[in-house]
Amino acid sequence: MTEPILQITDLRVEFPGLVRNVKALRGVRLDLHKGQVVGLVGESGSGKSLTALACLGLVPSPGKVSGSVKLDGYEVVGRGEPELAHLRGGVAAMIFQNPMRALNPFFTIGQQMVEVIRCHRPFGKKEAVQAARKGLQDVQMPDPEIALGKYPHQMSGGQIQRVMIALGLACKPRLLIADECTTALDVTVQAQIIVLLRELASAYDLAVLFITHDLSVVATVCDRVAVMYAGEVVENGLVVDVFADPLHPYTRKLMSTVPTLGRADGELESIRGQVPDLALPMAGCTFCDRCDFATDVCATTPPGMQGYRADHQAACHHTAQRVATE
Amino acid sequence: MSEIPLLAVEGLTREFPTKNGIVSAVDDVTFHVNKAETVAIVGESGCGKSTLAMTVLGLQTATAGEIVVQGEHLADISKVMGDRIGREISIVFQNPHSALNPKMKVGAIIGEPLKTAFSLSRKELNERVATLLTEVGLRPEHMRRYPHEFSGGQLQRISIARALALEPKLLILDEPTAALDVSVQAQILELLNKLQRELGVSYLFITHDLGTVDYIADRVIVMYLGKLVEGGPVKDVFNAPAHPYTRALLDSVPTLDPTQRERLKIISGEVPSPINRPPGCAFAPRCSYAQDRCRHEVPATTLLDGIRDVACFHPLITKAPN
Amino acid sequence: MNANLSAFVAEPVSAGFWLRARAFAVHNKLFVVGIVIFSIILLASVFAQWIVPYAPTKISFADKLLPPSLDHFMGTDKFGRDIFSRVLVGGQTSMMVGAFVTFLAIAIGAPIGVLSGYFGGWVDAALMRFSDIFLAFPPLLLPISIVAALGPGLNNAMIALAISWFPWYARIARGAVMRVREELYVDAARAMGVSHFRIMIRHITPNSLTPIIVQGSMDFGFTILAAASLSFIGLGARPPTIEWGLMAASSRTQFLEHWWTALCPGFAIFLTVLAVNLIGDGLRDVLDPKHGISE
Repeated sequence: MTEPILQITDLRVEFPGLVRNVKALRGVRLDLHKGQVVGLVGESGSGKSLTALACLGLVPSPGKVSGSVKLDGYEVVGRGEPELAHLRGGVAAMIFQNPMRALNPFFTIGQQMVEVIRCHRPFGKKEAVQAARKGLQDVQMPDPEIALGKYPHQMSGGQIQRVMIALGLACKPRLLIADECTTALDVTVQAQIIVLLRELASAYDLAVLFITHDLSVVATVCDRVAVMYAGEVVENGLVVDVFADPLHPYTRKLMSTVPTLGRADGELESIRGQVPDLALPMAGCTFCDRCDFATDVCATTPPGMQGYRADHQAACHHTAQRVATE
Repeated sequence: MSEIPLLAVEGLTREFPTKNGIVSAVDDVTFHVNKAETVAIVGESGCGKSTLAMTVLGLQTATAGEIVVQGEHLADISKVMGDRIGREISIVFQNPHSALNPKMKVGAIIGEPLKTAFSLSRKELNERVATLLTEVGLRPEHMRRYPHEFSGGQLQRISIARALALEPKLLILDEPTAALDVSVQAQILELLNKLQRELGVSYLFITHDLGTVDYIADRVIVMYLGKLVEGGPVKDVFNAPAHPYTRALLDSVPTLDPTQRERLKIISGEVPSPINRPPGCAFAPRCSYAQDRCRHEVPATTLLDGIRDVACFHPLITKAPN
Repeated sequence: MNANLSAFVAEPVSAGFWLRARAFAVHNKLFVVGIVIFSIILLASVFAQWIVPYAPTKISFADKLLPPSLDHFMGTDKFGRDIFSRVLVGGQTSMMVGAFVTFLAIAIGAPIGVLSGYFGGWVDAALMRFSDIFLAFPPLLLPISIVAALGPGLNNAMIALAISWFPWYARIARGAVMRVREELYVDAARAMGVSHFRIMIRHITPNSLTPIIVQGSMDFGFTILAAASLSFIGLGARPPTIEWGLMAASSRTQFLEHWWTALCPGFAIFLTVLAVNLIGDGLRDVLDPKHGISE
């Protein structure tokens, strides 16, 4: 097996405060290989966006990062700004959620794309414009020539997201991180964008880390999925495996709280309790208070990630018994 | 059934003058809501669903059309508002954080409609607020706290409590779960179901999420660029859509089943801007069934089998399934 | 950036008061410095009568124009009066001027701005054109004209300053109101049938106060400066009122050789204005919605 493009090992991020320290990430472990689309799923406070930021060294101060994040072999944690600037865009690129705020309203799309391209590649102006046009074609922008001359406010959310993807790919990175990039889009546009990302991933052998709270999008576009809760990855495996039989109680609950098309009528399940306070120390499993299967051992011993099937792991004490009885 | 519908909207139109001409945010929309029923309005950006809600509520003035609440025409909405409408129709907004005045205590927020409509003693007011808080799953002591002390889901419950204060017959909900976490959405939807069972209130539920519509609504109205393109019972519409746009919408929704991922079909293009409305049927440029007539004439809304409304020259089904 | 990240960095609402105060002080050092300085000045002014080393009006020609020393911290003026004592007592006048003028200007300007911003249309146009009349004058010219019409004296000077200052608050309030007017909770209130008047009082005004408070705290210093300027040219306070600007004015003929007669009251003005500006800057950060109320 080749080296992973993204290798996160025991990533911890802490935000120290005068009153309390918030342990936002508590030992995240994740691997991505070339051409894989991996979904990182969780609700607010789970730490999924923070994990993405940590990959590019963008954790805001006063956050303290420890552990290891390797981008194509380069260690990101502890690097200084000049080295990180080379990694960002060149090795890994990121697209964010709100397309309307991502671009400067005073300049045309073409001008902004050219600026970014020339930052990273030694192109003259004409070459850069050509590269921009090609970039827009690659992301299936209708009428790329006209688009180059438009201002951001003249474009729709979907079109701007395409521009952002084009910009992200401009320097041929090996990893693309998409942070909730379709959440703010209409459902038909979302479908277009996620299909586009899937096609780009296979066309360019790109690794994609797709961060979202929407499980159905993960089911449609991702090969693997990692579920996060309270700063940790609690389940990790192939999408077909995890969705067919979620091993972690949180994943299970999450799937049954979502109202989806064609779900049989019945009560939607809800998860009792609330997300735990990340500043408090937690003995045992973070999901313990809200779990229907919790026993004594759950409150005292943190369950590590345990592999129950080939390539499907969950951080739970009880899955072994369940799988064993099958 | 011969009962008068709770809300009947007929030919409602809302136009905005812009420097590029007149834009119809809502164009000739007709629908009704019965007692203790949930009608969902579904559509993408620019379809006019939020404008429709604001106009029915009275926060915006209709350019044309009629709104009939329990048999009474609302001729002069601006005069009526604050009098009847505030008590018959109420609203819950999308963003729970900005829908509540951050400088007011929760008790005052929920009590405000009561203070405006009646003169109650302080004790009576507090009692009613406490009852409302319990009804939505919170506790009476919460009335002394400020909005910033609560989570998004709790704030939405407070919004609902405020909306129910005057015992309205119709509650308009504008994307009430869009800004909430997935696990909290389920709680709010459950709450809404429970309140409907207990209080018999009707809902006009605006959303872009088809899964939510499937779960909570009895009937659904699909809008595209200000026009109603299809309307009918949810199960029927979703199982056998008549309008190509409804079909396209349903095909674009990703499912929770990874083995079904190839079912996702994308349609080309995007919703045009209301300023550049295509001639004829607004959906024609993106419709795979479009023919010449569609590009020149605007299809009128017809009734299929007495239950389903469709605005299309070539609907996908000709008989509503029984 | 993800809105959730602010939840990691801000302190929670439920922590103890002193802990939060300490956390606050660390993050807003200049603000605390401003408050400390201003408190000292304020306390010194309030208790001036009790802490003055000499009677401020005691004349003693034998001691005239003495440079600063241990006996007289700020030296003496041409009548032999202790300048430090006069500065302390003069603080009372200056503080009162600052408070009164600022308060009056806000009391006139803010309601105009709220009405203007809330109703828009011709109400807005009329009220703003009315305020523009006062804004059209160069800064000190208007108060000078008003005082000249009303007659010199500190009270008239304060009224004149308030009249020239209110249009700023009208504009600030109007801007804040136009923003708050678009908030969802205002729509919600209208949907419930709440009257315009009640909406303005209960919803609009409390949420529009921040920029007014920030500006007001900074103007406190500027009004003192303006009053001092008016006194300097003889249109404000007149003897025997003890006021910093007047003190600087009276020293006009001596201060080239006896610098302390002008610089010491000048320093008092400077220190007050500095403190108040630091407070104003800090208040803007403190009252910013991103700080206390999480999004």
